[in-house]
Amino acid sequence: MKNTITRLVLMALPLISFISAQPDFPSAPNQAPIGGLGLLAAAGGAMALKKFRDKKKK
Amino acid sequence: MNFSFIKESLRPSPLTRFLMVAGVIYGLWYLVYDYYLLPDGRLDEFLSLSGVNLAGGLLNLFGWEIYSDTRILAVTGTSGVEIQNGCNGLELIGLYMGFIIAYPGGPIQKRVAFLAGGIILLFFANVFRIMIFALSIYYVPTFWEQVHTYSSYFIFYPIVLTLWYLWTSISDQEIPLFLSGYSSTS
Repeated sequence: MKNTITRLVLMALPLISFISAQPDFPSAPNQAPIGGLGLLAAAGGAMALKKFRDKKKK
Repeated sequence: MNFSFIKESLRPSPLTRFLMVAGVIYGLWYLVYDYYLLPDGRLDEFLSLSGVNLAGGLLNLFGWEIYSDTRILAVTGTSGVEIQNGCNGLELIGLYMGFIIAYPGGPIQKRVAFLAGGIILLFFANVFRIMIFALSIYYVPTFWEQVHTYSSYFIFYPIVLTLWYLWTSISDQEIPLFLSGYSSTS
């Protein structure tokens, strides 16, 4: 049960940035939004997962 | 009757607790951002304008002829780049803060120092990114899409992941056992 909750939360975390994505802006001049934040959040979750697992092994 | 075994089985693991706290923090952050900070606009405006001004000042200092108009920065002769809301790093700062606040352990002073230092570092990383954009539009305009798409991965990812890793290492060294969620006899 705990593992299922953990997996669901882990999968849902990157979606936050998609859900609250802001609308596009006019085209000129060039716009430069910061992309890939969902991936960064997932990487953070994976890092925490590894840290907690390592701690549990000790 | 002793219900401690039920209490024990319902207690979330440290990872679940971390993910739940992080999820709540991100949720609150986006609510605050969407319903207060974005409509208010002052924080976004401050980050965008100060980023553009600093990036323009530095480019000027290094000898490039630039022009900037509020949120727009350009090397003279190009269309330039516009730092709108969503381009100024505020969302990234929220993400960074969520992890640092949610990960257990570490003294409060170090946590606050890590938060403040990280936010300042990310702000200057975004200034550097704006400079790269202005220069790329001038020197390699055909690669704008690539520069703009992949800049986050090369500039922000290493900084944020390194800071998160450092914070987990510091926290793990100083975490009291009762907060770690693990038994000393395991």
